[in-house]
Amino acid sequence: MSLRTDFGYSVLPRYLDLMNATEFAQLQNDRYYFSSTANQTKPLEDYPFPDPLSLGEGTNWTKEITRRAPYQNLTLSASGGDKTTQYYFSTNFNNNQGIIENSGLKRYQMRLNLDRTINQYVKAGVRFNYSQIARKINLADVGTNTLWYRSTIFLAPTMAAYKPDGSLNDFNTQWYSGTLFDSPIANVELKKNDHLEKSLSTMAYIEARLFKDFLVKSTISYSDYSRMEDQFTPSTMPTRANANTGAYAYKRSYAVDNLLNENTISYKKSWAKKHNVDAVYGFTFQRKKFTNMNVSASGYFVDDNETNDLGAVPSKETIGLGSYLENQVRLSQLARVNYNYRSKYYLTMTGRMDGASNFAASNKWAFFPSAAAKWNIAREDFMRTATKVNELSLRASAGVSGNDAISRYQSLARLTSSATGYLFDGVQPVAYYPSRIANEGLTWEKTTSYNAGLDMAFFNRRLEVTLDMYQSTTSDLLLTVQLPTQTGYNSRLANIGKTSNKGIELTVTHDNIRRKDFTWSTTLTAAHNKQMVEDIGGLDRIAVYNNNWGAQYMMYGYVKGRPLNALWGMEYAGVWKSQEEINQDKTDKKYASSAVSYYSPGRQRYIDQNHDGVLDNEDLVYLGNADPYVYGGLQNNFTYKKLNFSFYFNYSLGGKIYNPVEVFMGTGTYLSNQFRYMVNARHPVRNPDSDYPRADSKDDIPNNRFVHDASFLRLKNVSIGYPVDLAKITHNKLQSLTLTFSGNNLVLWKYYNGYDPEVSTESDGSTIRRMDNGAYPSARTVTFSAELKF
Amino acid sequence: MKGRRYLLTILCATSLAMGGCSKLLEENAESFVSPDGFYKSENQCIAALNGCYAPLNNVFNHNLIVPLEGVTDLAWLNSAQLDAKFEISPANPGMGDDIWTACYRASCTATPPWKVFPKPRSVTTVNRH
Repeated sequence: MSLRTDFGYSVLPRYLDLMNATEFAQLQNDRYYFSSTANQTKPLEDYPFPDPLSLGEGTNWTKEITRRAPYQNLTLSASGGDKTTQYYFSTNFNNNQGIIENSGLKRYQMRLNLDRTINQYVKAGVRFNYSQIARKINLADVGTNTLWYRSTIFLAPTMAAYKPDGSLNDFNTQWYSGTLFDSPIANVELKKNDHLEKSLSTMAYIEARLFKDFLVKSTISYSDYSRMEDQFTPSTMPTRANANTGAYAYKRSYAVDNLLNENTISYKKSWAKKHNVDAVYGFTFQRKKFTNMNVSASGYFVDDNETNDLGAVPSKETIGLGSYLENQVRLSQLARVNYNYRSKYYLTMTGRMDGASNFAASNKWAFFPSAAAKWNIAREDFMRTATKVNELSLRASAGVSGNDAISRYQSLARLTSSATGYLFDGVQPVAYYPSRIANEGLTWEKTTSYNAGLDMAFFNRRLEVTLDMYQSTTSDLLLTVQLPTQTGYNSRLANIGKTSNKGIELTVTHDNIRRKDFTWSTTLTAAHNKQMVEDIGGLDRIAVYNNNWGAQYMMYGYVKGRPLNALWGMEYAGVWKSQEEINQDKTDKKYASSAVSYYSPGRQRYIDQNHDGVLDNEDLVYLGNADPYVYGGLQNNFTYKKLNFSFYFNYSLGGKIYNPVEVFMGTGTYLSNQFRYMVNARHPVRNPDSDYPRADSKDDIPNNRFVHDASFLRLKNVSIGYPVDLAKITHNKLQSLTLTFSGNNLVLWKYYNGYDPEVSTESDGSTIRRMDNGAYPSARTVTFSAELKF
Repeated sequence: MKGRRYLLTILCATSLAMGGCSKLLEENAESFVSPDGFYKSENQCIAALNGCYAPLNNVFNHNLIVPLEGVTDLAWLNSAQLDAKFEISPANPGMGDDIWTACYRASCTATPPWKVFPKPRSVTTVNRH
């Protein structure tokens, strides 16, 4: 039995280098200076901030809503049994609070595994796992470009967090001419977004040795997952209080049940200790059922009841309703044969037929074959004399795999119902409209891959080297493609294009010191990976992420012959230094600005790639690859007597990353706070040579000024542990107590001016990687744990 | 031994049944309708007609004022950012873009119902619009 307890805390590792109140006020004064010629001769008293220096640091909005968050974990587990029955059970409580106020989760979990050998032919067992997770979803925006008006890094430091009377400040002076708003503090303190997830997973299996060499195994798993969501905004929320709209409540009940049945029959035999064969045939059936029901309404005038008295809605017009039921089925048949000759030559062949319900009727099935071979050279007779070589083997494999990760019913034509359509006679009757056209061609995305590997071990396994190389091609990519508006539809899912992926991975482990009382070993990993777009079905480009503002230029997207995770934008060419430069360029056409008003000294210009005098999609260029050139880690383990100590670094070199918030925070706009480098903004008197645009120059152009080197080195983990032997002292009543102290994400060396270059904010994940758009910053965590065995 | 034979038979039978059962993969939408199963009753036809008007909801936004009032002498745009051109035509919708798109959409979504409506005599009254 063992009892383990962990406790610790996590913190936000760093704040961004943003302007303080004094610097921001000075920038606002500069904006006033530029807004009319008459302002330039006015006394300082007439400026928006007559005394910027008196403002000091001002409000750090991120600091206002972040905290040192406690972490706590308690696990009790036991395992044991006899020859015929084995058991394992555990129970766990976990309290993991978020670094943003009022966010975090609490989890209770219970597990039971039971295995029983019934007789010499039959074995059976069950698994039960129940968990309940109460999540408090983060309520504040830390830096999303699209939510600039309420994200903490965007809000001006000149605005106070609280009014002089101690109540929440509800006026955003920088939102155009100033407006009432719900500050991040109001959001975290007043709002509620709770998820209660309950999950019960069960599994039972039986395996029987039918004949001497045949083993039949059948498992059936059933899991039941439910999630209740409660969202509530009280009537006291500043914008709701002001509009007198009462409280808003939303409740959702979502459930997934998943039935999985797997059946295999396997055969294993050796002949004359030379030929070893094992083979498996199996089939699986999986059915998932998704049900959903949601209700929302607005106008409640009793806040105390939150989402628990939805019927108290004063006006039925505010009610929103929805429900759905979706089914998904997967069927597979698989067969595999392994053969090896004297553990020298290995051969594996696998074939599987997979059927997925979410593809078009005639395209549901696909066949995925693969084969692998291994040559264990160290076992050859001619290697017998090479005693320093412990292992030397070559591996090679080739195969096809499939991807069916799309939603249900995507190939079927759909009419969608809506009760929020056009008004007739003062009411909104239900309306049906076509929302998807049938897609008979929709099928599996397929990846063909080839791998080669080399495993080596020398000097009594003191040095181990593993080298892997791979190359793969993915075709029929499941991509969402824009449709021309005249079709009546915006976009559709299609199998289009082809991408390639090549790479190499190296792992080297060396035992530097092997002594009785002291050991030191080091593991180094390095990997290189190159992903390219080979074809996108004749289209010029498929945008994956566009800038949300202005002409909405593509920032990430697929273009034939370019890297998969390519960054796109304009090529920055500094600022216009004088009116003469601008006049000269009317004939030279070397540069272009985003709009007429940007042809002005101190404002941004870009390379006019095609020299047509206009900045448009034709001037968009490739700005780099988000994938690193090389990445990996360095692990070091030490033991001194019983004390063990380890540290791990990870690194990434050569990738590029956009900081999309700089469209606001690096262009001197009055709407949002600025990165501190904007104190060096161009000013005709103070700073005439600067290439940072002057105050108030938000031109909505993504460009290479916002592209940063994503290289980093991180001290990811440090851990020190010591086991105390309790057996002797307690006469075997207790066994041992292990004390461990560890820290995660302790130091980060980086070039990027955002929180962390190792991010991905996009939730659907597969189409866009390493994109930072208001990512919840990864926390720095310190934990202490004690594990008692008895 | 007899029991094991039974088990084998059952497993083989299930295997064949499951493997051959591609019918399990057929998708039947439970929470939306397909155009084939619709336009069968008067209410359904009216609901489809209502759907044709849905895109016109998007007409009622701040841009409506541009084609209505902006092109007259009643309004002018004081913007240093926008090179405002009050030209509104199919080729160059300009500031009327959103309005144009919404109206065009409405006429596009109107096509499918007209194509599939049953012959007039089976619909007694579709007189609302």
